[in-house]
Amino acid sequence: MFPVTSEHRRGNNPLTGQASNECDPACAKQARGDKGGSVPDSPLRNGAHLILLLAALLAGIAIFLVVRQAVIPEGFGLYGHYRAGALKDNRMKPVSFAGREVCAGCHFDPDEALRAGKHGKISCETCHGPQSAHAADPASGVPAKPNAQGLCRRCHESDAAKPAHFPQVASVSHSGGAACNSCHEPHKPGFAKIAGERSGKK
Amino acid sequence: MLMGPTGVEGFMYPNEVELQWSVLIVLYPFITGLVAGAFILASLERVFKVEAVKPTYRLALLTALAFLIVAPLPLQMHLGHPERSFEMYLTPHRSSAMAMFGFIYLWYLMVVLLVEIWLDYRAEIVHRSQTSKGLLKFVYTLLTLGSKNVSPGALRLDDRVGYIVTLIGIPSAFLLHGYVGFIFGSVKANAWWSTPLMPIVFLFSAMVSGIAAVMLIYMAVSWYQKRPIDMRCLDTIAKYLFYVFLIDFSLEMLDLVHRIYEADESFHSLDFMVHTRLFFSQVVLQIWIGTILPLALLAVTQVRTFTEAVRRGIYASAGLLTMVGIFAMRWNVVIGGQLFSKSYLGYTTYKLEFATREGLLPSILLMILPFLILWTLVKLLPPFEERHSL
Amino acid sequence: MKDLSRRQLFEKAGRFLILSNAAAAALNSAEPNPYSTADHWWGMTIDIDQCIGCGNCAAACQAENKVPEEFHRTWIERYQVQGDDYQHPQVESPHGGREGFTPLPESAAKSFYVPKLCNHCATSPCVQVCPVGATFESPDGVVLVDESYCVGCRYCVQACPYGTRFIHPEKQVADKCTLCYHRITQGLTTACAEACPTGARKLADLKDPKDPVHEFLRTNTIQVLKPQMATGSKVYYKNLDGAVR
Repeated sequence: MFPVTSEHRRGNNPLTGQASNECDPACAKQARGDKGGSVPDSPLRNGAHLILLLAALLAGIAIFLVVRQAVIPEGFGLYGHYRAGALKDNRMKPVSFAGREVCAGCHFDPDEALRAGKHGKISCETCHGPQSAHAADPASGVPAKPNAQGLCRRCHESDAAKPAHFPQVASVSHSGGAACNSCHEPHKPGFAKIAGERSGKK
Repeated sequence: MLMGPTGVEGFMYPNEVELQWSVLIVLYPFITGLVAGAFILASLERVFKVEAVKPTYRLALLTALAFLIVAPLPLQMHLGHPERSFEMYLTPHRSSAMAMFGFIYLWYLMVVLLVEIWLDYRAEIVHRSQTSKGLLKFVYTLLTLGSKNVSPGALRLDDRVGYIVTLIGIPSAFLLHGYVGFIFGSVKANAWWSTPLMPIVFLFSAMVSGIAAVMLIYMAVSWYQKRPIDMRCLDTIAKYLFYVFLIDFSLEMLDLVHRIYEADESFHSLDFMVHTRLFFSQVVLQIWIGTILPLALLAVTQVRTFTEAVRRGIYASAGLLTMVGIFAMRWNVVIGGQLFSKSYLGYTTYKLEFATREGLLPSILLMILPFLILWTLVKLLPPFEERHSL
Repeated sequence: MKDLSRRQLFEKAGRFLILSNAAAAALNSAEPNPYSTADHWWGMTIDIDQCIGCGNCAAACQAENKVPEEFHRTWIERYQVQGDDYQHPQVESPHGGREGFTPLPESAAKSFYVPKLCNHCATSPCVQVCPVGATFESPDGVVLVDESYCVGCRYCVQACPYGTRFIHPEKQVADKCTLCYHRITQGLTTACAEACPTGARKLADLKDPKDPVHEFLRTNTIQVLKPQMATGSKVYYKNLDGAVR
């Protein structure tokens, strides 16, 4: 079907695997020329399409390198193999927990009471939840009071997996299900409330 | 232990319940394996001068190309942000096996496979650009890349360059699939994957699947085009399939024996998995039906003489079983490696969905696509024409 | 003395009000001593003997970082070890402990809580495998994700030995503990440490000679998770049991 077949090109016969000598004169000349050096049918002319291919490949690589340089995000590689701006992006996230110092900036009394007692090291937002929105705009509303019943039990309900030194009670036998803050003042744990009622304060 | 509603048994770290890599990532090593294997079969003829497999030389190259074009698609479909995938070329992270794969892929496609096929077909392309009409003429003219020089000298040069490209192509094909194995084998956090044998097991299983695939496609195309099958070629391919498969199986068994004997901290977990969740896909499909059975079939043809019809039947069944076995192997590596907790205290379940982005349907379509591409390639660049011209 | 401290508090509160309304970028330039990554090397200390499994840390993390319901940047595990069978501990972590745990009755088993989070490894496997440079270790030792650059290939999730990473279901990018980078770079502690009632979790600056972390490491029995992975973990556990995975 075609004037040139593959066994022709390879110089061997596909059936016998033998090298073929049935080369046309130009081919033979080329073969000799390769060894001889000077040839009219120069490898340059015969290899033009290969040079073109190589040039296209190199051009492709060059274009890639140029485009790459242009598209790489700003600041990439400044500190390491990442976009330097990603550090800032991660810092820009909004804060939900304002932190105890911010709370204490306005709520002096509860903070002082808390510091004096056994819960002194607990941050306000541990129980009251994240309040940065309230801190940023106190007029926006009063945060809801936490449900003392569930809150206290979450830490203080007896649990074999809790460290033994940690104060814990079985709430059912301890109070028969009565609200914890009917006896205990969360900001001043112990029997602050009962003591307070007896002395007539609060 | 009780099975939870999410298919979790025992304890998984809370983020582990959902699998990260789906069936699409099973296809990826399966497809690249076919590429590498088909190419190595082609290079048998070109570099190692195994003349008997010559009838499949071009078919193997076209098969490799068809699958290579599809290879990145499952990865692309799997990404959370496919539109950002070009970043792998922009800012490749040198320490990441995955980033380097992008470059190996491009190298293999652009420098090895396309160039080798182009050089081998150039004479036909030029001829067809002059004889065909209409759109086809345009396509072939485009494929000549502007050179009509098919003088014997030029073709001789093509052949020499093609030979060099094939020489470069063999390590490239090894690299292509060895690297896929390394992507898994280098994950130290995952005991199922982390083994230095992984790249080499992947490589040999790639050769097995590629050789079996080309053998099957050759038989199918011959049957379809009502062309007689060259039995010397088929016998030789089957012989190579048998020996490479034997090496592959030995390596996999070595890995298995080593794991059982060492029985490190992960062993209890992996052993449990192989006996339960992976029993069917690993023991039944991969080892018995997909490896031992085809190996036995091929072994019989090596020691006994059968008629051509029987041999064809055996090769076809062995080839099909091999494909099942290699696919099961990819499945067991990719999915199996994610079914157990990195705490070694629990197991999860993979739920294969149907018509979702990473479901069964897109997977089936992705497996049909390379055959459509191959069909087009075979039409455009007929691999068997030289037989006519003799 | 008390008045002085109150005034300081006022100043701090005032600053917070201004800052939370202004852009965070302006925040840095407005500060007299802008944050310098070279001055810090962040980690965390966890005292197992102080953890009561209340789950406040996990819940606070979710609130602070908008963590999706089904995934966890930090979580608590409860271990039960029967006798000498430390190879097969029974572990649970319902909802990552966000809602706390059902109390465990006294039994023959040893039981305890273990908080988990990203270990901010110094040689982290997740950073190593990221193909594009979308996850990285900051100069001050925090492993972060660049959400606008992550391709969502999930390789980092596979590479993390501790299971601390996940793909954010809406954003489709890798998500993980940032050690509250947005907080610690403006002088706050992490949300989990802020919410921890017992001080079991503490942010640690290993470059700060005055940080109590040095005393903590020197005077206690310290372990990191999966030391055999050699990841250079910077989350230091006090009295961690050998059964913990």
